Amino acid sequence: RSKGVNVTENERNMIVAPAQDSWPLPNLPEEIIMQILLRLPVKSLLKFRCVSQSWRFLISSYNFAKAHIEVSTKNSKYAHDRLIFGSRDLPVDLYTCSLRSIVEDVSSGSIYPMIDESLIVDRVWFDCPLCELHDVICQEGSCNGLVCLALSVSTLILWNPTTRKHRVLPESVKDLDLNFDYIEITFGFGYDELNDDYKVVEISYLERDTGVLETQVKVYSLRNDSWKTLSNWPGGDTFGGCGKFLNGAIHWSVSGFDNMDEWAIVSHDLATDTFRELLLPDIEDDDVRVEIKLLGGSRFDKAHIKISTKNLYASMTNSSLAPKPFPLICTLILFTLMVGDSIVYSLHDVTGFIYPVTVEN
Amino acid sequence: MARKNRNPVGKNVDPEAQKKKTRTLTLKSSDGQEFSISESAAVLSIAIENMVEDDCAGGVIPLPLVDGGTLARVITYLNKHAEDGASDEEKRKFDEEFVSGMEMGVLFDVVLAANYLDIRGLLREVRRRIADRMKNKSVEWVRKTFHIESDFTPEEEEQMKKEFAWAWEGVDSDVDD
Repeated sequence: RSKGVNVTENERNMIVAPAQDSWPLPNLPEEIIMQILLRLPVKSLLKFRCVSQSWRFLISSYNFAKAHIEVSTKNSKYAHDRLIFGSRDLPVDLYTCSLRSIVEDVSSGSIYPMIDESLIVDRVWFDCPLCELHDVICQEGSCNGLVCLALSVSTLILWNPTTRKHRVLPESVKDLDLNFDYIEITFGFGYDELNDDYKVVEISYLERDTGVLETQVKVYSLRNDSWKTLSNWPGGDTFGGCGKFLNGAIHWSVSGFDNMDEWAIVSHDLATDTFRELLLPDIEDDDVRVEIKLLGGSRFDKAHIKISTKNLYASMTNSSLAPKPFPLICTLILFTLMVGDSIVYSLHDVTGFIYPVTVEN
Repeated sequence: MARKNRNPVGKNVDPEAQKKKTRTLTLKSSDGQEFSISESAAVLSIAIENMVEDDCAGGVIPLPLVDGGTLARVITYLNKHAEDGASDEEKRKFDEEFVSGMEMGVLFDVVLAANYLDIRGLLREVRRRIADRMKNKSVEWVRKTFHIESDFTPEEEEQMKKEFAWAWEGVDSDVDD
C-alpha cells in the first residue's frame, strides 16, 4: 500500500491503492453479513442456504424474511413491484413483468402507461398439479409478495411467485345444513400486522329455502391454518369483485339486499374483525356506479403521494373543488364513482377524512 | 422536489457550519499515516462527530481499526459528500463510480471502516455493491470469500439443491470481477 511520504495532502487523499489480490479477505462481523444478505434477491438466498447450517438457519428464519421484505420495499420506487397476469387462452398460463417497465419516468414523479413491443414479459412458474384440473385461475388479491388464487369457490391457494412455493388452503367449512343456495362467493386477502398473520376473507351471499337472503363472512388465518365465521357483518351484499386490501383492512363495495341503489363502502379491519362504513362524498346525482380501486400500492410513502396528487391535479382542469394539500405521510384509498358522464375520485385517509377530487371525463 | 443540502450555500450561513468548514482535523490510520480533513467532512462519520463533541480528539484522532489505504478512500468519499454545491445527482454518480472499481477485498475493508466510523451512506452503498457482486456467484465462492466451511453432508446439500434447483440457473464463474 502507498505510504505517500512526498505527496501533498490533497494528492494523498485521492490515492487509490493499486489493485491487489487480497485473499484472504477480512472477516466480516455477523451483523454486516446479515445486512448484505438482506440486499440479495430471493433466488440468490435460496442458493446460499447451502453455504452452512448457520446461513440456512438465518435465511430460513421468519424474521429474516420479514426484514427482507422491509428492505426490498423501502426507498425504492416500484423497483420490486411486479404485475402478474394470465394468458387469454386456455390452458391459463401466468406471466409477469416489472411495474417499472410499463411506467415511464418514475424518477420525475409522473407515471404514464407505456406498453410497446419492447415490454419484457416473463412466464411465471406455477407448479401446481391442482391447476391442471381447473380452467380458471382468479387472483383474489396480493400482499407482501404473496398472491391469493382461487381455482374454484372451494379451492384457494396462497402462492409465493418468488420462491415458487404454494399452499392449498383447507376448505372453509360450508354449512352442513343445505337448506340454502350459494348465489355468489367473493374473497379478499390481506395482512394483519397486529397479529403478524395473513388472512383470507370469504363472503358468501346465500338464499335460504325460506327465501331469506343472507351474507356469511368467514376468515382464514394462515397462522392458525383454520377458518372462523364472523357474525357481525353489517348486512348487505358485496359487488364489484374481490375485496381490496389497504391499511390493514379489506374494503368492500356493498349494496342493500332489496335496493341496489343503496350502497356503501365497508372496511373490515383484519386485526379486530370489526366492520366500519366509510363516509362518502355528497353526490346528488342518482346515476352512480361505484368501484373501489387502489391508488398505488397498499402502502404509500411521500413519493407516492406526490405522484398521485400531481397526476390528479394535472388532470383537474374543470374542478369545482379546490385541491386540499395532502398530509405528507398517510395512506389514501381511491374510490372512483361514475356520476353521469364524469368520474368522481374520492380519496380517504386513515382517519376517514375525504379528499374530494373531480376529474373531467 | 426540494433538496436538502447538509451545507446550504446562501446568505444565511450558519456561523458554526462555517467554522467547521475551515477547521481541520487530523486522522491517523492503523499504520501511522496521517490525513488532514475539514471538520465538516469528518463529522459525516457519526463516530468521529462523537469524538469531536466529547473533545477527546486532542488534535489527532487515532483510528486503530482502519489502515491508510482504506482511510484514504473513506476520506475521498467524505470530502465529496461535504462539498459545497454538490447536487444529490452528482453525489449519486460519484457513489456509483466510487465503488464500481473496487475489488471484493477493498469493498470488505471499506464496509468494515464505514461500519466502525458509522458512515451510513457509505455503508449502504458498499453493502449493496457487495450483494450485487455476490448474487450470481456459486456457493463455493461465497464460502471461500466469507471464510465459511460447509457443515452439511454432501447428501444434505444435494437435497437442498434439489428443492430449489432453478435457483442454481445462471451461476457466474468464481473469478472475482
